[in-house]
Amino acid sequence: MTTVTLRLPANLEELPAAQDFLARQAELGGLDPRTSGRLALALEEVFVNVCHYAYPAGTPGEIELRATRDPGRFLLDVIDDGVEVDPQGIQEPDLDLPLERRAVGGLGWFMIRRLVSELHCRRERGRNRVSLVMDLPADASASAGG
Amino acid sequence: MNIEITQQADISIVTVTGKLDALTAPEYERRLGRLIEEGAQRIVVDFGPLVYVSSAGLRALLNTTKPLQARGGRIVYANLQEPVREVFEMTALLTLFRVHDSLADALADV
Repeated sequence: MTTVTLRLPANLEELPAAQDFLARQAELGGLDPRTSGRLALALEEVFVNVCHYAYPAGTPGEIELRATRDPGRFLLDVIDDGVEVDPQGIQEPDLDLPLERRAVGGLGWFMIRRLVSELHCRRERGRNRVSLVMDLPADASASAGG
Repeated sequence: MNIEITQQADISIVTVTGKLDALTAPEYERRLGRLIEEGAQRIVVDFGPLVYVSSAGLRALLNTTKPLQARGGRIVYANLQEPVREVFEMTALLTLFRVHDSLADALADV
């Protein structure tokens, strides 16, 4: 198991840096482009939520990314020190509504749940920790060395 | 992201290149909003060179498609690449929006 950490200001402008970090770690972890792309998208959704909701307006905050390469899976933790977030309490959008009644927001967590193999959200020692897990095909994890 | 707008008779063809994400979605919404305000009624959005769309991008699409259709205009999306198509499918926008595999089909439907 190898874990690499990056800390960034909780600022939308840092999104490319976060995704570059993930792309590099995903490559080292042997993720195929499609899986890596899905994880990059899930990362944006979590990252944007932290930037918008975790810290009071005008208060600088931080986001910590922890990429862990395990045999058989790749794990990305997104950690912040902001207000507690409970994604379970967020209502899923109604995708059956016609266009004129369709809400324009609320798709972020809905997409995250469908993009990753596993999603875990925890409050630990005053920090929010969102874990995005991607299962790897057997051949990919065998070729991804530590 | 880069946005190029060309005019073919009364159809506006909007070609979007790169990523439609939280950083670029406001610019997309601004450009399309301006086009609609200026009176465009038939718009084809060519997503051929678009490689990525997030929920912020989808919000920009909904925020521009809904007002245009509410005022009787038509907007058609063309050439979705696989990662973009997957997101459209996941969020049921593939059936909610007019989507075509080629620019020619989109131009015929707009």
